[in-house]
Amino acid sequence: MNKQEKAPIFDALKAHLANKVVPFDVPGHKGGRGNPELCEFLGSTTMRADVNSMKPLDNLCHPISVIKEAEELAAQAFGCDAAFFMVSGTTAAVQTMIMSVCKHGDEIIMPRNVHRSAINALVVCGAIPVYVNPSINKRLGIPLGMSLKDVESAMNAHPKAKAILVNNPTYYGICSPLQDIVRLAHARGMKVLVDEAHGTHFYFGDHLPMAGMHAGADMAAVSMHKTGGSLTQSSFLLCNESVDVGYVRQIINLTQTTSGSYLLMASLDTARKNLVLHGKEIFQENLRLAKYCREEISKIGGYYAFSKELINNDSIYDYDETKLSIHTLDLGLAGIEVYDILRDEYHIQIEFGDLSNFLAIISAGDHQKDIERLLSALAQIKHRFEKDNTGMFDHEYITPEVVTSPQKAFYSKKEAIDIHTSINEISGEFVMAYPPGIPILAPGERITQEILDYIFYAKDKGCSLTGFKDMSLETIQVVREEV
Amino acid sequence: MELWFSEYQGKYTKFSFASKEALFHQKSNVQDVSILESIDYGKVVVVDNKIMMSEKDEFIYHEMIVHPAFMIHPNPKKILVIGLGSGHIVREILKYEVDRIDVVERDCMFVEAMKEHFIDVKEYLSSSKVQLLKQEPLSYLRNRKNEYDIIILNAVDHEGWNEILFTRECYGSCEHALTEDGIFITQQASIYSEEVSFMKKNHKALTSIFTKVKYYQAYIPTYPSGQWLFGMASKKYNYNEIIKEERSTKYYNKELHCGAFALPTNIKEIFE
Repeated sequence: MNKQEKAPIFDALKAHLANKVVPFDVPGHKGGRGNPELCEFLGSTTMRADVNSMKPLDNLCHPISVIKEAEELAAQAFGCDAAFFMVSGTTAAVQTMIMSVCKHGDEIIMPRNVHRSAINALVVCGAIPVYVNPSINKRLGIPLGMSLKDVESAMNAHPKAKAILVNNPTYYGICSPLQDIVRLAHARGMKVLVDEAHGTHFYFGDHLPMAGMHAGADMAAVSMHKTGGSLTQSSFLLCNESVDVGYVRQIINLTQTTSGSYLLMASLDTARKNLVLHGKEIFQENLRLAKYCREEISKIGGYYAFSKELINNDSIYDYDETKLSIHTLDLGLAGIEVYDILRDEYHIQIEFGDLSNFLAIISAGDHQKDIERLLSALAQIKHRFEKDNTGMFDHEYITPEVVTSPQKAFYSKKEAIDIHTSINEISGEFVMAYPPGIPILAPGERITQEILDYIFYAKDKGCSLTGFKDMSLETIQVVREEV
Repeated sequence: MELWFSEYQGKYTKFSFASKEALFHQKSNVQDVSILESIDYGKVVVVDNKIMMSEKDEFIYHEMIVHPAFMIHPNPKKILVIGLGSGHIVREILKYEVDRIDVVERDCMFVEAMKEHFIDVKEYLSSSKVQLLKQEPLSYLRNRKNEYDIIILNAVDHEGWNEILFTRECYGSCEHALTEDGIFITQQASIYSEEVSFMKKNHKALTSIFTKVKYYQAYIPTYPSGQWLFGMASKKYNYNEIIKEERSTKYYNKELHCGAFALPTNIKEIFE
């Protein structure tokens, strides 16, 4: 038998259920009996499988048996030296990567369009970001990848930086020249950390951009739950031999729960098995569906489903065609407006809408018939709502001015002031339009008129703005004095 | 030997009939199709374990999904049928002076099975007025505009692949594909077999697209409970203004037309 046909955690869990062990441990619902309403809804198998660590099921904090075996199989599947099962999302995986290579005061190079989890890690560990401005596609209004020239000059200007973080791909599907970045970084002794929240399928499908571990990166955070078919919140952290895995485990255990969910771990285990055995066909079908969508969308007209034609061998080094990123501004509609109409009027939930685009994700579980609904709904939305596009925001990347480190700003004495009078102040908190969850402002950055204009416009268009302490968004926390 | 087929009409309710033999069974990527030679109902087409039609009572369904709209539309020339069904719908439409009947059907296997087992259907489909389009209906409809005088959504089941046809996006596409005085007809199942929530949701979708929506019923013995509903969404003509002479029919007539739109109170309440 191919070793990858095994799913050690899943198999051990099934064996445990078959043994009908009497539980005098936690969780207290005891196989669902303590929560009959939830048990009826989720099914008793789910509830009975929600168990705690025990000898036959190993322990996530210190794996020695089935979890260890499952981690080794995962590492083999992803083509790397070590893999960790993560149960606090890819957020935890990204933060572990950063905290494994950076200490207080260390510099780390990253594109500004990182996920908030990366900057949160800086608040916790005190590392200092060196931002590489992603290029902008003016027409689409989206941040792209990092250009090699910009990466190199950032590295030259900050030779002591410990690492560089790369999105592979961005939320929109855009990849940076990863292999070249690895070469530049390793020549300078810097580690390469890859945020592959949206790139699980790169490891298993053909005709997809290169995966981080295959490009020689040191660590990668892979959201198995996003495109790989595991349960929400489950993720893999991958390491190559250049990384001290014992230390990485210690960093994980600083913040990770000691009651790791076996539902999440079993879902990672079976999803890994499924992708090894069937990933090629699954992602080939995804690519076929995505191609069909792009053709149909171009027939509808008005929308622009961008793809590989954007490739410029630099800031758009490659493109993930399974991301159905669609530009809406030519219809006179913001992406977030199309996103809302699809959900409210057509019962179709897509991944996110920003000011000029929306993103539909095609992944392991997709089916042609649902694609047909999406396409027909888009045609209807065009017929019903198309309008003149004057007055629409035409670009959305704003270069940040980092005045102080995220950690210093976050922990400094702060004052809540009227957001309208906050120009030139230093922000003490995050401001994000969610999704995609990329910060407009991070702690320690200067507030400008341009940023405020963007915040008000995004709010007006229906974006959910998060990060503020004041949920009403009337006031913003600004830095008054450093601690 | 008696072969018994049962359809689950609800979790705890079955409708069963005996057959002499199974004539056909095949699975496509869309559905599972059987044709049974029943003792009481003639040939019966079963799709995904549900009765789609029987030779004994198919005329009721097919007359009632066609004649009400054709009797009030003064001059329907171009017709679209979404879903071939058993194909007998074409027989009823050909009783009017139409120029063209486009039938869009996603399952090629199904079309061939109907042609093989129903000689009359093969003949209707060979009419020069009939064009069979083997593709996904939503994809066919998506970019059509102002093209059809009458569109009939002829999908008996609203589950599986067909569920995408009972949606706002499908109704919207149909509205867009209709001419300015066009009529859209859809079947709406039976309140005794369906979740009332489905009917309410479907009603909401239909009325969000069309202003004139009316429902009418017919009695179809082999369908769950026998009681069956159809929806008529008209852009211009009123459901009760019959302007033509009756065609040769076995179930439909002008008096029945008006009566069919009179709904029982428990059904009216669903659509309030």
